[in-house]
Amino acid sequence: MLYILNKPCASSLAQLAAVSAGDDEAWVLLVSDAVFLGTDEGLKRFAGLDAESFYAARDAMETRKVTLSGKVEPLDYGGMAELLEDADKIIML
Amino acid sequence: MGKTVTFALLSGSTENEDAVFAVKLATALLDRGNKVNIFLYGNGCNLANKAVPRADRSPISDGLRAHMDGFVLDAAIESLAGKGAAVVTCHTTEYSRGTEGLEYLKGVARGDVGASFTRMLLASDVLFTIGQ
Repeated sequence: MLYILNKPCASSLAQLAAVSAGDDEAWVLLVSDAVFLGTDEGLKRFAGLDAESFYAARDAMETRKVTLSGKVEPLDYGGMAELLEDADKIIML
Repeated sequence: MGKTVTFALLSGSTENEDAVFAVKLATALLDRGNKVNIFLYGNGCNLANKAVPRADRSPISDGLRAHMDGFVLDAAIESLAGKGAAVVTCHTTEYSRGTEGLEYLKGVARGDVGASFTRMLLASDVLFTIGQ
């Protein structure tokens, strides 16, 4: 399942933890301010999540001058659209 | 086979970047062969209207204008509609905001929650509610 976060707030992370419980093939796409979670330090906030892949919106990352962790793949809008097409289910938090 | 993706866009221009994100993602989805619906609700309905520029020069500085132009979505929304996206407003939120009589961008249609939005939902594979 694809989970999309657009805010780095604790409530979004709590919602993600709740709805993704048991999902061992979670894809997480970080957009807007949530790209701040794509750093090495930020990924520690997902410690309880069994995420298969992390992605981040490239323009949001570049605008904010965020240095992504090597575990996070930056995507342009075409890449995000492709990810949406590939996902069987999508939840935006 | 492409998906039908519906955006319920609740934010207008500049209050955050949600509208820019939604329109850019909608454009990418449409360009890849998916079907896109955009329902403009709440402050999002302000994106439906043609701009009404000042007759004289705006006091906004050139530097600030260049920054703000990144949030102006008129051309992108008309382009989306021109490529086949359904872009529909909620007429009651327009009424309450006093914008009901303003001219729409090319391709934008008047609508409502009970009929227009519901029809979108019934035919959608994906619904994004974006904005606040």
